[in-house]
Amino acid sequence: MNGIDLVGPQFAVLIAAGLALVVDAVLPRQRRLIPFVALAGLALSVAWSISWVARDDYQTAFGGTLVLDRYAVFFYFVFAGIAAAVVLASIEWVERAGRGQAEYYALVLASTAGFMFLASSRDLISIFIALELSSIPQYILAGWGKDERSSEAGLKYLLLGAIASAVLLYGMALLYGFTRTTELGGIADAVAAGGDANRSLLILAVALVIAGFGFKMAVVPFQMWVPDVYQGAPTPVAAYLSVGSKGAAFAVVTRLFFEGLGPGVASDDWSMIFAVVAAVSMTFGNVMAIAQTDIKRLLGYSSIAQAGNIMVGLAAISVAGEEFVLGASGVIFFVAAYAFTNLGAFIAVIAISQRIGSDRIADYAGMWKRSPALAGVLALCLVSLTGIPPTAGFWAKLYVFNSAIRADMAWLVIIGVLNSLVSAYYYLGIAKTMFVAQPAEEATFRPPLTLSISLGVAAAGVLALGLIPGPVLSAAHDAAETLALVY
Amino acid sequence: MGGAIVATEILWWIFAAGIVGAALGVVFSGSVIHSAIFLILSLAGVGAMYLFLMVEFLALVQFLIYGGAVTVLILLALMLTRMGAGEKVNGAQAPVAFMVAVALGAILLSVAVRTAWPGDTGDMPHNIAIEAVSEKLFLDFGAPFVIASVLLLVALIGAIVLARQEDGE
Repeated sequence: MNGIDLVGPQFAVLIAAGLALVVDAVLPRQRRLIPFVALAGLALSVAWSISWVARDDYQTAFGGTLVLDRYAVFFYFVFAGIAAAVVLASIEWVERAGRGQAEYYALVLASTAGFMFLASSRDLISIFIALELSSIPQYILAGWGKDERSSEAGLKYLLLGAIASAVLLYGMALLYGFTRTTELGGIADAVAAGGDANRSLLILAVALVIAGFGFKMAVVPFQMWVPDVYQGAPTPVAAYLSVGSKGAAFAVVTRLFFEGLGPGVASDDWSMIFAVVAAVSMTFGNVMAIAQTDIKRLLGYSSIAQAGNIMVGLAAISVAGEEFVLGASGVIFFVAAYAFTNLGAFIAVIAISQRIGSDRIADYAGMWKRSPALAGVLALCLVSLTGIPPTAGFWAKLYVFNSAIRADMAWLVIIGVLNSLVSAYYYLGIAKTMFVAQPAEEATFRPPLTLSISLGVAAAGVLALGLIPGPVLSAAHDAAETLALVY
Repeated sequence: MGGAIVATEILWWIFAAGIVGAALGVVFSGSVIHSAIFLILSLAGVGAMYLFLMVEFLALVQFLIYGGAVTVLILLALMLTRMGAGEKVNGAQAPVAFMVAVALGAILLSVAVRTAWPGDTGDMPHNIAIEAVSEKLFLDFGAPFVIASVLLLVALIGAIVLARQEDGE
């Protein structure tokens, strides 16, 4: 029982996935219950995580391949929240999609369990398996729609994802060949002992690992798939990809660099890799987003830019001392804030496009008059993505940029701030279209109840993190500190 | 004794050349079917490498799963998708891909040569008991093992959902 207890949050999610399939087979008339089975499993998972916070008895599990620490538990909450929002936002769409409903929710839950395992993995083998558990359901979900675009999205995502996995595995194999262990703590020791002599190998291995995860984070130059997949995949799935797989990739890379590579040998080199990737991603994503006319493609490019923002925090991590924690907690907080914000934006897009049947930004004209609530929440989320107070995005950017300044990377912050100005142009451009332009038709509408609930939660999260960021900031700081305790 | 080692070394080089040759065949052969057959040869060669390292269990797994199951699956998939033998498999970007591959290969080779790899194949424990393998697999790496089984189940469900014909189609 103790073993199950240690992976309880993941276990609850997987049990719900199995139950969803059982309900579908045993009670075919009660299919409407299935999303609520999924939500119940996620609620149980959150309760289990809370019980671990209350017990404050963190430990490693399963021969050190998994670990239960504040860092992992912080991400358990984030991923369970993301999954719950996606389940709520999917209900309408899945009923109409005409494929198995139970399978859809089972795949979302399995992939969420994969994210949770990623956040708690302390071993290259479990990191890789957890990454695949989270990725394979996403490939299938991206191709869930029956139109050609969705199939293309699924296939593209699968092929490029497979290549990224191979590259990642090659980097891990080089790391193993040099350190002779897959356990992150052992890798840190081996790197500290013999890293200087084999600097070129280490840098190559780390570059390959970054490339593999860079695909999941969707940073330049591993971003080619993003606009096509976001546009072609069903919108709830695109929402899930944009926050879930990005967040999980940042969670695992932060742990990998803290616990497996850490400060010292060659860390200036990979700080530089991260800084350059961050700068290029921010600039490329924002510049490309300006010209977009399709809101899902625009959100795709904007997510590339946001990944660049988060990566500024990773670049700051490689500097030792107090700033070390600062960079990591900036990354963690940014992932949580971005999850609320981007989910809110995507759910609003789902609700609007279900009604108007279009993803073109021009068709959002006058949305303020047709559905004030939807336009208001979408505008709030866009303001947060820009990084303007009083929203979550403001504190996230402030925190990450602050950590970069403390790490003597003022040039990176200047690029980041300039990019925020560029992003304001197109984010607020959408808001202007919704509030100022004349609507094509006057008929007002309201989103369905389930969408309204998830939209309300996302908007509340964006505002709460913006007005009283203290509790989550300190939780992020504690989580980062448990990583720092390794030294 | 010394003669045996030299003989093993010569055999090793022959197999190494064979693996690389077959791998090049996978990439350069004109038809997908030929590529798949070269792949079998290359994977079998890797299995032979495991035999040189005296890890019989891994060699067996390599032969059975990669040399056997995986390639049979690839051939079956090719049959089902009716991919013609003369189908062109290279696109317009082939020259660019070639240059990138050569550059990456050169980097990997130069780094591999320059690195002082810890340990030596001579230090490898020989004749590892199957019990030791199972202890590693089911105790030390028990969690990844179980997660991998969930992963297989998920892939199975996904494949069924995507391939299933719905009513009225």
